[in-house]
Amino acid sequence: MAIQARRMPEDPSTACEDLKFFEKRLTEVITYMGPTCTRWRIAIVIFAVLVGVIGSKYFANEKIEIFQIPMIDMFLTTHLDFTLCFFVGLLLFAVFGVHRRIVAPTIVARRCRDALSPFSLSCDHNGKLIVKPAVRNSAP
Amino acid sequence: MTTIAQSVFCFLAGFFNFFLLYFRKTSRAYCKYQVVKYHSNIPMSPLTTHRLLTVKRKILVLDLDETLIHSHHDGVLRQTVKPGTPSDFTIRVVIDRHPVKFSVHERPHVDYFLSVVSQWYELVVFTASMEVYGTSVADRLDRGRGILKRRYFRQHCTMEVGGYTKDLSAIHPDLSSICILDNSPGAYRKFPHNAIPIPSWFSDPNDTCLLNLLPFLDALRFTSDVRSVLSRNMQALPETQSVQYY
Repeated sequence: MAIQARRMPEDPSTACEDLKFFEKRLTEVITYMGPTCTRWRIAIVIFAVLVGVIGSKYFANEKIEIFQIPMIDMFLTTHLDFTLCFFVGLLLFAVFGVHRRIVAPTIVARRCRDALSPFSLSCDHNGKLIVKPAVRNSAP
Repeated sequence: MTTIAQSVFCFLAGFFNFFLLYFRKTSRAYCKYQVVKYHSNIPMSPLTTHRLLTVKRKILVLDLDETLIHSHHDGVLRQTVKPGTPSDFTIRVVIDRHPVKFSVHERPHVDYFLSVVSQWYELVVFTASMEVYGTSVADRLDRGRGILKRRYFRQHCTMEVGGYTKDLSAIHPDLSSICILDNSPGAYRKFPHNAIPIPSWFSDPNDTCLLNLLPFLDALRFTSDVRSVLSRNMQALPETQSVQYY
């Protein structure tokens, strides 16, 4: 009797409403990451443009002047833009991980799918819930 | 002369060992590092805000071993952690008048997970380990924040045929607002509709299971009955109707 008392019959309308709010919150979570992701994408585009401009400057340079100068002076004076660009790139990719931030909604959606898979649920890249039939081994 | 060479060699060996340990800790920390985590203060729409005020604040029961941490001690026979892996902290407990030193490894992002989830749920620690060990581990995970105040240990478990099971109704009588996070399906055998399964963790620094659960637990707050979602659990063991002894 106590065992049966614990197994309460589920109200389908309550479960349906719960799943709706569950899905609504998942959608909010993934949608929220969109603007931040866009800002990081703009940052990486600007960085790529800068790299292109600095690179093209060296390719367009027809006269190659060879001087006997130390390496440190070369990096700090004539190639200061290259040095700064290198360190900014290192900062962006190694520390901030910008290559992952630009796909942050996809990463969060994949994490949601991993967390939902034991419950026969899934979600698309927008957070919309995909309900699969709950298969459980019902022992006779 | 030989003594001086031996001293220099010992010094260099110690120096090398120090750098080796430091390199291991650094590389492990970098493996654990995840750029995309989770924003704990994602704004809610008026509809979800109103919904959150309507439903009750839920209770999240957390297991310790192989769920949030993994620990081993010197006397263990089967090595579950590669030798040389730096532990996050060590605890010394006295078990049956024998002092035992446990090396404890934290699951990646457990500190961040607890700080975020404590804002959403009332946290309860429920472990099948002994109280003297569970208290030390919970104190270290808490870090003085006061988020793991309610604790249950082995004496609160129920001895079943397959091992210890955890009685969730002893924590809170309303089962619609309590859920348990455990790696062992046997622990929640009596409450399969309130369980969130998680794979066991031993030493993988790239594990992101706790980060995966954050959006799930965030959304679970908005249900009036957690069993609407958790009853779809496929990994729960079938409930034994009656245990027969032959």
